[in-house]
Amino acid sequence: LRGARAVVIHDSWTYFAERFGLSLVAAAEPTPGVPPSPAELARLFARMREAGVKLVIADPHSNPVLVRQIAEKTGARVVTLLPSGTDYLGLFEENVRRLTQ
Amino acid sequence: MIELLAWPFVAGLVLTSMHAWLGLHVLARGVVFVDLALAQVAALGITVAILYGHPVQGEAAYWHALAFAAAGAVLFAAARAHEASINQEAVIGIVYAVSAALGVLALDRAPQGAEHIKQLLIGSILSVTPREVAELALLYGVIGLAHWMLRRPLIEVSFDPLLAGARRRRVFLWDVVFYGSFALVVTSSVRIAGVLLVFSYLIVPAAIAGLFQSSLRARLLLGWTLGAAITAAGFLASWSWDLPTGPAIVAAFGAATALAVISRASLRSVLMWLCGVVAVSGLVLIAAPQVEQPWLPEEMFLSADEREIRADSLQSVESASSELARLRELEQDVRWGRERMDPEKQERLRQYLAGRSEILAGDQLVLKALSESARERQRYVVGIPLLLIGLGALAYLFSGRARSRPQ
Repeated sequence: LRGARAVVIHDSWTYFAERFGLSLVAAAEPTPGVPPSPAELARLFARMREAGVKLVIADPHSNPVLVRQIAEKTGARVVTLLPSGTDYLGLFEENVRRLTQ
Repeated sequence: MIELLAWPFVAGLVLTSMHAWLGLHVLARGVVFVDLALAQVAALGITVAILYGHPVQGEAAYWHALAFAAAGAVLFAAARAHEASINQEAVIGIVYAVSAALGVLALDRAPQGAEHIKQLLIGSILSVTPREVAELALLYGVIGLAHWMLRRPLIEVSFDPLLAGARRRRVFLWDVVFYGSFALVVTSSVRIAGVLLVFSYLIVPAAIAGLFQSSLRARLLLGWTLGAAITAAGFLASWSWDLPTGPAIVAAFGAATALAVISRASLRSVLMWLCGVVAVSGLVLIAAPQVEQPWLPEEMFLSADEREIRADSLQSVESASSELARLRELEQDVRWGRERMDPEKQERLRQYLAGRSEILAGDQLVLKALSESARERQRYVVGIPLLLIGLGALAYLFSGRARSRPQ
């Protein structure tokens, strides 16, 4: 997975990606809660297909309709990472487990 | 474009078909905000579902929303019977405000609460699936058929309650039928299109049609045509100007309403509004010169040195904006793997972009300061004439209107 390119739903997970060697190429919904424009979405789909990006990182509160649409249109795998948990190390282990599953 | 917008556009047509009809009823009943209130009650139901850990677009959230909206529908039907004691519109307003407040209180305890509120308002019409559109069309088809079969009592109770009373219609029962089906429609629409867009589909086509047609059938046909045309315009604006689709369609509905009203207004009314705007602009300039008024000419109120600084800053902003756009595009291409660049260069590019953005912000700050100086100097020299001309022209137009009225 190290070196893999991924699209995030919101502009987040930057440090996580840096630590675990992921390359975040774009955010689908740069302003949380405001859906992307059709042109932005079309550009995202075209670039994901062209670059062969097969990973979408969402969080539990991302817009599920948008996440589903991106996965359906590009064939990418959606991984929902947890922003919080009961213990810090366990949280990272769980997120890494979800990514490598 | 077609691949991405085809189904959302069909969803817009389906929404128009049902909402234009219900909008005619809502306007006739004089309960314009019932849609916002019911949508807010449905949103409160979704909020409760989120608090219980259900996903916002899931089945559980839908049933929560429907149950809450159905309760609201029965409440509104019951409120009509007590109209002598408490105005129905007051009940609707109270239900809206309380539901919105409860929703905020509830989402305050949920992570990403503000984001959920935005999602409920704006919706995700661009991400609608063919299956969702088909389900919506089927549901509206069934409700539309039921309304057509029951059209006589439903129309009488909405449009002519006195006649309904004379014919001994069971008004409460028919109100429950109307508000119940209305709640079902609103709940189903809001989860796709959001509160704001659903309100626009309901009110705008029916209201504009009412300006141009008097019979119910003609209003409905015109409402459908307008709804379809405005939906198409909204999608086109969203695509052409890179805007989120739902808010772009709502803005198109707003623009259409303004155009329709202006087209029906007399030249005198339009001039009166323009004079009012001129007077208010002058008043704002006098009272609060710090308020931005980009239409006021500022260059002639600057000294020669300031004009030179302004010209330099404008040029710098223009060149920095185009350079930043080009380099950001390059950075995106590198990220996506379309261009190759070694990591050191990438880091240099990142730092250059950050530095250039700061310089751009500095130039914009200079322009803002010059603009403020110009407005400060315009405050009385321009503000007082604007206020006097606006008020004078307004008074003249008012007196002309009074003279032209038949005695």
